[in-house]
Amino acid sequence: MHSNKHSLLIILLLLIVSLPQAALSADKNFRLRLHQNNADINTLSDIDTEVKFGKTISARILGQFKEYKNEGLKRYVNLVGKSLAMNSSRDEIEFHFSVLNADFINAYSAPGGYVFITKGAIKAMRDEAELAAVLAHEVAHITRKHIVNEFKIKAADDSATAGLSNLLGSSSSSAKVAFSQSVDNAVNMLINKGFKKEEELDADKEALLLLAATGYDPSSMRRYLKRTKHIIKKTQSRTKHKPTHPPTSKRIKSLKRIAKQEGLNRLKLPRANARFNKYVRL
Amino acid sequence: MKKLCLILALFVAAPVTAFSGDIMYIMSARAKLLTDPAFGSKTIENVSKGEKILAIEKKSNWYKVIYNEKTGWVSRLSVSSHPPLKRSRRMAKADTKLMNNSRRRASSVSTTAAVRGLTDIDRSRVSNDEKMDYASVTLMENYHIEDNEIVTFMDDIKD
Repeated sequence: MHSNKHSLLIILLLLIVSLPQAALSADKNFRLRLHQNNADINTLSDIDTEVKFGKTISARILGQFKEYKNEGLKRYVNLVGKSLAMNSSRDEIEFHFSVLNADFINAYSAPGGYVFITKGAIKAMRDEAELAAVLAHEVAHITRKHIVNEFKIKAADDSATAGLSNLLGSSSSSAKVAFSQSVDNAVNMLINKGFKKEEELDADKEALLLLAATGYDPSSMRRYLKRTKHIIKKTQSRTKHKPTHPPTSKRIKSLKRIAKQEGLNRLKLPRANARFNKYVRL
Repeated sequence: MKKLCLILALFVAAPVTAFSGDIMYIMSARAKLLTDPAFGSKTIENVSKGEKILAIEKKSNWYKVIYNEKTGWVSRLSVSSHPPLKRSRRMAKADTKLMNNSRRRASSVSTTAAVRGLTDIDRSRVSNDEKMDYASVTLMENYHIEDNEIVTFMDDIKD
């Protein structure tokens, strides 16, 4: 009997011991996740390198599609885009937005803060929240560093795993050609192949959070995708422009799930329809 | 028995005192300390960019933090473990300076090419499909809107 009491006491004490151990383990996990959240923090040189790479890609995009000349629309798109950027996790880079003089529906982004949207994409919109949704998706590709990670873009260093960094830091001709080839691949990815499916869905998720943080109706992205689904299909069948995003039905399904998970479906945020109609006359 | 209890009690106390938060920094210009981990919840206080906060818990896309002796939640988008860096506009400025200099010497032209990642070899690769328009990119970069104008625009998002 005496030994039974002892055993019970030991079991109880062991249970008490395990609770703070579990808390400590949770704390460790929290710190690990916190570290992962900031694992991609770059130095100023890394950011300059990213801007340099993004600038070259942007020169190629603007070489292929000219800018749509409309001062009022340019200012409006920049105000919406920069509002989103101000609420993003990458305030250290300056975001730039440009409307491309193209009738098909698409938007592109290059590392370093360069975002492009076609005139056709804006024409199919009904309100400012929809414009914000498309821009937020592109801003998210930049804040989540999808191209930066794909091409290992960072400032030059001596490490063997520096990837593109040594090409950017080197002045040799072969390095410059390799740099150009990386730009070719990035442009091809943006304009023809598109990002990986998981990166697109990741950008959608980040965009929803960004829309809510800025004060826009997060359901705007789903509304816009639903409306443009058939237009995109029709346009793509008669032009050379290939789809660069995953199937719309998959994206809509995923957006619905994320909105529910994050409690965004209960939010009543504005669509800013009146201001959109005032500035957008296409 | 007493000895056993004492040892176990010490073992219990050690990890409890080891628990602490992590210093994080507000990154976005308009962060809010909220009552719950949801965008629709009540704002306790607005937190300025660069402010230090103590993160004590993470739940999905939210951090539970202590700021100004108040406990609340901030979005993952608003925080970082590093203080905010200054905005990178240096590349754009350097390029503009080079492009606007009408008396460019050969050396400065090659510097410009280096900045752009272009050499003679690269230029020879540029076909009609690979036209590059740096002038338009520079115009895009130089289109600046003051932060206070952006904040005013954001404050006016309404139906």
